[in-house]
Amino acid sequence: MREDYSDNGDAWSHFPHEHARSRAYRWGEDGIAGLSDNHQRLCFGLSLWNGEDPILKERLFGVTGHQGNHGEDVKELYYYLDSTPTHSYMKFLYKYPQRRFPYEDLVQENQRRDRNCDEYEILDTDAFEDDRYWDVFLEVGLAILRCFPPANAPPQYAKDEEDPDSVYIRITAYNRGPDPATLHIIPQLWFPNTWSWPLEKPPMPSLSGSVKGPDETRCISVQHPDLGKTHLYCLPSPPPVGPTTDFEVDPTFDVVQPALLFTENNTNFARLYGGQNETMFVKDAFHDHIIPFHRPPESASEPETFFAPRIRSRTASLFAHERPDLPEEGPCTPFPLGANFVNPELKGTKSAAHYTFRDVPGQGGCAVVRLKLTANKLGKDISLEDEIAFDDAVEERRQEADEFYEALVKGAPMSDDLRQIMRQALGGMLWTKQFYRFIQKEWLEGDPAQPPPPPNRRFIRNKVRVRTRLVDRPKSFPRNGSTCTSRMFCRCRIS
Amino acid sequence: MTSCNASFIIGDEPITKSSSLHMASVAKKVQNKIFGRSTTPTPDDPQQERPDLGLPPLTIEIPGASAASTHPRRSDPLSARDQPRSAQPIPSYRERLAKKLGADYNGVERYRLEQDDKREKHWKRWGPYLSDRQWVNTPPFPYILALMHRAGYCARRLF
Repeated sequence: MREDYSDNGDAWSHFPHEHARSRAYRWGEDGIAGLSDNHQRLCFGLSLWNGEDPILKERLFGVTGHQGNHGEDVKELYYYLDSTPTHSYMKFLYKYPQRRFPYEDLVQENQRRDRNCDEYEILDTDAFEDDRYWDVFLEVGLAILRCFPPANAPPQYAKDEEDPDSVYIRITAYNRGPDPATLHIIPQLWFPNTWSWPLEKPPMPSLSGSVKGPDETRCISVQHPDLGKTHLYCLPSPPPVGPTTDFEVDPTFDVVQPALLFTENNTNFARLYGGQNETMFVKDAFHDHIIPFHRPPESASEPETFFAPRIRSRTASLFAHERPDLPEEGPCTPFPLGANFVNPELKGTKSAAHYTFRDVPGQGGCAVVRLKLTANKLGKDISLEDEIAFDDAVEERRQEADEFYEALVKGAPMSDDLRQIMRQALGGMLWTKQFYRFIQKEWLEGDPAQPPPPPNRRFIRNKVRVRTRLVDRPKSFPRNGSTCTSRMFCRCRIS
Repeated sequence: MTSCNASFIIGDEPITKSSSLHMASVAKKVQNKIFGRSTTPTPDDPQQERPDLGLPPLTIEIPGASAASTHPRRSDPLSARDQPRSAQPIPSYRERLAKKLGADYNGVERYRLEQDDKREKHWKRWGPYLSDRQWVNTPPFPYILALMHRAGYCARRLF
């Protein structure tokens, strides 16, 4: 769903990709292989960095309606591989180049072509040449706790062993290139911004970081007025392994512990418009923290404070026509030497676990990240300490998905390949369910704590007056004009 | 098939016309080719099953998913030292549920869907409800109308 603040319905120019990482969304969030609850109160998304890109890869890139010669189009390689109707098992694949992602090239070449030419796609660039890319799989399993009884005791299972609010997340990245390469895997957990719009601040949710247990497991604790309390445990990862069959880990290498990062999910007005920021830490902080060349140039003379009013050279816009070597007056992110972009107190409304896997071997070397979102305490949940239990749980969910799809086509005269196509097609439909927050009154009238919308908004496209809230309904948005088939299985709740 | 006037070939038959009748027959042939005839299958006689297009049946080569892939693990997690496992392997959730439900068992996922329908457990609370890209992805405006229609608003009265 695109965010539209314009007065002429031209949302693309008003919310381009280069704003998306710095500007808080009003109507709905996005993310690669993103997960959320059905009211979109808490969001999870995958982000990656190959060490070359000017920004983190945290949302899919594409050309807008004006840039593409055939209209808007995503220029990425991503695959919805599998999903069950209840999302008890899901699998997603994203292919990430090890070279710098050709953002500018894709936009410029597509703008240059007229509508009679073919579109310029990511595979027309040299981004994936020599197989220098990562296959990043993300698997999700809803929890069914497995309790390992003490030896010699009859098996006993906890009464609440079926727990839909615990989510296993396993991210596996394979280096398909010929040489060792470094990959940063940065899973993010954040709250949609619900507090910057009304005059009176609603009760604030909060995230906080801690280190727990004998394994020094990094934990992000979630406190939300409606959702209650839960945790995202970021398990220590084994060091990257070579492409052997058994993925034996060399015990001389240390485990990879993530660095927890915290900021606020607030717009960076200073970077976008040269304005004042609501808070010290803002939405695009992880880009600045992780990527040195994303930061604005440091002042050689005197250290500045965050809210320094001085006008100086603009942060180079990456995708527009501006050239970074031509300084122009305008917005910037003033930045003191040695300052923190992220909150050192490990508190905020947007968080990330920054895993760095150095020199993952080529030709299929592998790095893995295991995360679990659960309200359970460490020590009460075996899968938080035992990776075998964790992997077994995900594997069981996969087998249950096999069972479901086999039963669906039982007796049908279909080849195995067609069954696989059907399963992946249905999985794709289920993956594209989307939460749709649209409160028309607020959209037309604007938010009290924000500048009023342009008067024309009432008369374009939404010439509709209704007194309703169409919220809280995850819908499936099919791609490429196909028909939604997911209603075969899902009856989304209306609340 | 972006343009109806383009000349393209399905089977051995070049098609240059754009008549809907013709298109429908082509679609039927493709459907037959992929799925076999729509009549009841007779596994005894597969030759009769195939539509006679004078072509070998369509084959699709899809690399199979690797079964039970392994993932690297830490070499010596503390838990493995501290908590000796019981000798008996625990049966999987599927096996346990099948035993519990007996003849009513028709799959774990079906069981979860029933639980969710009856609102005993909210299995669909967590899901992929996030957009891939919020900044450029939009449903057409009629979709919003359709949503409103489903919510009980009449499209004629809206304007």
